[in-house]
Amino acid sequence: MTFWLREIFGWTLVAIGLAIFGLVILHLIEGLVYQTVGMTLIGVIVFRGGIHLLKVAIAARICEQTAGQLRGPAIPTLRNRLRA
Amino acid sequence: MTEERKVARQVAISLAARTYLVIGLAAATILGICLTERNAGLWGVLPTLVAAAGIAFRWVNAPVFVLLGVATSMLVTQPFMQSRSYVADIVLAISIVAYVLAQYRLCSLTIALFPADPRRILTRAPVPERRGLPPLIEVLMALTIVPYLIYLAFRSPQAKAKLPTSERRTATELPSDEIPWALLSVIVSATSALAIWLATDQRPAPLRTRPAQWQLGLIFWILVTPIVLTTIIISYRHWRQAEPMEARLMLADDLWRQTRREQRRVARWASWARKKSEVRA
Repeated sequence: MTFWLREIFGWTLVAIGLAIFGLVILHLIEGLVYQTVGMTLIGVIVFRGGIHLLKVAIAARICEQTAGQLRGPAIPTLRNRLRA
Repeated sequence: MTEERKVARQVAISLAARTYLVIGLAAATILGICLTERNAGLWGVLPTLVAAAGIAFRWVNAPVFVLLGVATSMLVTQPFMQSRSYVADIVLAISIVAYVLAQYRLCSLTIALFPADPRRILTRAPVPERRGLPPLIEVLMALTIVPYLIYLAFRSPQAKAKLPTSERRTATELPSDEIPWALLSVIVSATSALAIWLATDQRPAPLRTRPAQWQLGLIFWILVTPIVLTTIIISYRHWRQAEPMEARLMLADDLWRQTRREQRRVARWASWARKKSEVRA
């Protein structure tokens, strides 16, 4: 579940980064050059953060799934029987 | 597969290759006319010749030189100036895109879709060493160049590593509606480029920049967002298809990157403690 949350947050950050790039374009069309310098920097950092979060979340999910497949069925101990 | 089907597929490939050849040559001709109309002189003829030769002799790298030639001719004739006619611009754009498309698709049909992988050497046997002379005699022969050249010419040839052959596109990878879609994509891409150019044409250029340069910068920024979005979607698909070992490597890489300072500090203290215990012992 945490991996899905990370993935959603990653996509959110990517969308915010793209929105900042869109704002940069709108400012540039209006001829406001100096205002876009800081916004570009912020956009790049947010976008890269989102990508990083996405990448790690997907990798962790794949590793978790593989580990789950390798674990196999639970050993029938007395504790497991009592839990069941 | 029956013999008739094989022949039909070969005919389909041959027909498609011939069509791309005709499209490429026509595009090269139109490119030449457009550049000549701009009074580019020799720079108008050179890219056209390279384009025609490239498509006739299947030079894979020809489009790069054609694009460089066209860019140079435009910089020579009208550097950073507004165009006189949008029709001439769109015809030039269509001819260039059509030429590049035809060149690469023709090469994929007749030469190779991708170059051969040079890492996959098929010959497992070790390359035999040449039966050389003793080093001292080689030095003496090298001092007299002519006998050494004769020796080089007549020495036993070295065996070359055998590489896998590159693969062409097959007839099954050639849909029947490929060429109409390709031509449509050429027209759509050139028209979209002109639409973006016209949309950014009326904006005033700030900071005393030239209008054409400012327009180019604006178009770059407008194209950045879709390109970045496409890249992230492709990367996302790639990450999802990663093998478990690849995913583990990604996580390990991230762990090392995030904790490199702590790991360095821990390793330094561990090394210090080990050395100290050795001195005491």
